Amino acid sequence: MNKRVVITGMGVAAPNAVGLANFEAALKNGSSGIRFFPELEKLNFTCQVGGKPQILEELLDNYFTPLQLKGLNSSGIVYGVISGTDAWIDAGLETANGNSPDWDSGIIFGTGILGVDKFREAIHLIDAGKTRRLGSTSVVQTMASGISAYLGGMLGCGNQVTSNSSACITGTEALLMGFDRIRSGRAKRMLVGSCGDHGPYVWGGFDAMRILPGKYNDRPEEASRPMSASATGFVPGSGAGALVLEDLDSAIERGANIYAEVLGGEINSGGQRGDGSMTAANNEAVERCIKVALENSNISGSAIDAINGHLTATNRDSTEIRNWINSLGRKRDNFPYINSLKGMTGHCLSASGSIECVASVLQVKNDFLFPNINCEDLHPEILQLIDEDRIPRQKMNAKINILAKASFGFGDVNAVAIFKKYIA
Amino acid sequence: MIGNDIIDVRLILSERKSENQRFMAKVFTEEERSMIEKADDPETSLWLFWSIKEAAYKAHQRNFDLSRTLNPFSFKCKLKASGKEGTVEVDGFTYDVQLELNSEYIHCHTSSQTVFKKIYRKYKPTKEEILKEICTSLDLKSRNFRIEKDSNGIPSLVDPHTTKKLPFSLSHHGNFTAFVIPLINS
Amino acid sequence: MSEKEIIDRLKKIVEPYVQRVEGLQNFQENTDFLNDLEINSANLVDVVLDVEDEFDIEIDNDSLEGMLTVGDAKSIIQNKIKAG
Repeated sequence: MNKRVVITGMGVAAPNAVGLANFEAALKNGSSGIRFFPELEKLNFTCQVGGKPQILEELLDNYFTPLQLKGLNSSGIVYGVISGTDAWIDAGLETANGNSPDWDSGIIFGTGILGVDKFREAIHLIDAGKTRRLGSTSVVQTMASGISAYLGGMLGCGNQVTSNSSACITGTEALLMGFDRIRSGRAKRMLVGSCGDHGPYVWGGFDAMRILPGKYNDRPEEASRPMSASATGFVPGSGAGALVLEDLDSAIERGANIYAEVLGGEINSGGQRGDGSMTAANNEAVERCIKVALENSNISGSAIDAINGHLTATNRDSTEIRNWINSLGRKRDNFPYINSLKGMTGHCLSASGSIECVASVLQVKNDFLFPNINCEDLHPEILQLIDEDRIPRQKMNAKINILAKASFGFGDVNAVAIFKKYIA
Repeated sequence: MIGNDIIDVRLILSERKSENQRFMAKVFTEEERSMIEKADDPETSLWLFWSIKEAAYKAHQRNFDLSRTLNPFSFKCKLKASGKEGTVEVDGFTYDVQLELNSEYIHCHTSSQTVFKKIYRKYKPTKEEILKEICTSLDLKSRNFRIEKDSNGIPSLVDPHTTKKLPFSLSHHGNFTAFVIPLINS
Repeated sequence: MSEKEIIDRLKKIVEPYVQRVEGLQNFQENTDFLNDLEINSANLVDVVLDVEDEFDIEIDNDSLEGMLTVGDAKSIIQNKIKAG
C-alpha cells in the first residue's frame, strides 16, 4: 500500500527574504527582492538587475564550521545549506550522532550548475599553472551533487543522497522524486529542494539570448512582471528552497508539525516535438502533465483552489494559462486563483521550483494567497481567458484546500505537484 | 570597505551652497566645481558630490584606521553620466560609489561587496531598533550584537561572545537615517 | 585677543549650526564639534568660513583637517592671527 506523504519542515533563502518567517512576511507584503547590480552594468549586461538572497557573513557561522568556510565560494552551496539545515531543524529533526547515519532519511537536492565562482577561481589558477593551489574543496564545491553531499554530511543521512538537474523544474522534480521514494516505502524522510548559484556567469547566457528585460535597470523592483502587458522577459534570480517530506505515520509518531500533504504529481517531457523545442514547451506535454498529476492525486480539475504557476514574465505566460484551462476544464470566472512568485523573486532558475513550493505550501497551511506584483496592467490575452479577479493583486485571506504547483524548464521538461491542506 | 551617507534634501536645497564660491573652493576641486556648475541642477549636483565624499571618507577611514579629519578637498570625485555611480580617489586608492537620488533624499554608499541597506524616513531609530532590524531581516535570530564605536568613531557590530566585529556604516541627517552592512555576495 | 574672547566669539559662530543644544552649556576647549554639538560636516565648513570672516584670517586645507574641537579651532585662530 502506498504511504501518505506530508511536509514537516521548510527552509528558504530567497532574494526577498532569508528564513521561513521572513519569507512568509515578504510574501504577504509583496516585497520585491530584485536589485540593481553595478557589476552587471560594468560587464555590459542588457539586464543589470537580478535577485540574490541577502546574507550577512556572520550568518554562515550558524551553518558551517570554520574549516568548511575556508575557501567557500559557491553561492549555491551557501543557499542550499542554509535552507536545507533550516528545514531539517524546522521539522524538529536532529542530526545523526555516533558512527551510523540515519538509514531512513535521504536527500534529493538539485541544482542547475554549482559553484560557478569557485570554478572560475580554479580556472584562473589552473591556467596560471598553479593547480596545486586549488585547495582541497574545489571538487566538492563544484560537482553538481556538491549540495546534497554537503547536506548529507551535515545531517548524517543514510538513505539515498543525490542531486537531480533538470533546469527550471529541478526543485519541483526533487520534491516529486522524494515523494515517490517515501510513498513506495523506501525512505521515511526525504529532504528535498534545490539551489541555484547567482551572478554574471550563470545569468550571462540568458542575457545573450535576449530573454531578460533591459529597460528596468533604474527601477529594479518593477522589472519582474509576470502576466503583465508590459512584461519583456524574466529577471534572473538565485537562492534555494527546501522541504522535509515525511511518511505520515512517522510524522504522527514524532508529533511533528504538518504543513500540508503532497497528494501526487507528474513529471514528463514534450520530447522537443510538436510545438516543443529546447527552450519552448510542447503544449500537449504540459497539459498531459497537469492531467496526470490530477489523476494520480485522485482529484478532478474542479478540486483545485489555487495555482502557483511557472509564469516567468515572458510571452509564454498566456500560453501557460491556456494550458491550465484546457487541462482543468475551467475558464473565466470558474478558473482557480493563480499567482506567480517571480514578480517578487525573479526567476530563480534551478532554485525556482523549490522556493515556489515553499511559498505554495505556506499559502495552503496559513490560508492566504500572496499578491501578484507588477501586473496592474494584465496582459490582454490573459484577460480574454480568465477573469481579472482570478489574479489577486492584493494579499487575500482564503482557505486553500488544494493547490497545484507547476514548473517548466529548458529541455522541454515539465513538473506539476499537488498540495493539500492537512487536517488531522 | 564600507561607508554611507544620507542627505535630507529638504534641509539642504535652500542653502544655495553652489552660489557660495568660498564654500565651493574649500570643499571641491576645480574639476568637480566645473562639473557642478555645468549640471542641470547645480545645487543637487553639489550635494551628490558631497555625499560621495562623505561615504568614501568613512570607508577610507575604516580601511586605514585613520583618526577623524575634515578634508573633503582630498577626495577627488567623478560622477558617471547615469548619476547613479561614481568613483573617488584619495591617497592613491579608488572607491566605487553608488547613489540613490529622489525628491526626498540623497543616499550614497561604497562597498566592495553588495550591501544590505535600510533607510528610515521621518523616524530616528534607536540602536536597539537598528540591531533588531539587522537580526530580523538577515535571519540572525540567535545573535546578540552591540553597536560599538572605536576610538576613531568608526562603528561596528560586535558579538560579545565571539568578539567578532562586523563592519557597519550609519548616517543620519534631518528626517532620515540610513545604514548599510556588507553581504557575502560579491 | 584673549583666549576667552576667541572662545566666546567662536561660540556665537557655531550656535546656529548646533543640533545638540545641551552641548553648548559646557562650551570649552575639548568640546567636539561633531560628537558634542552634532554639527554636521557640511556645516563645519560653514563654521570655518564664518571664522575666516570674524577673525579676518584664511584657514588653509591643512589647518582645516585638524579642526575637530573648540580647542583645535582656537589654536588655529591664534596661529593665524600671529602669522597675519
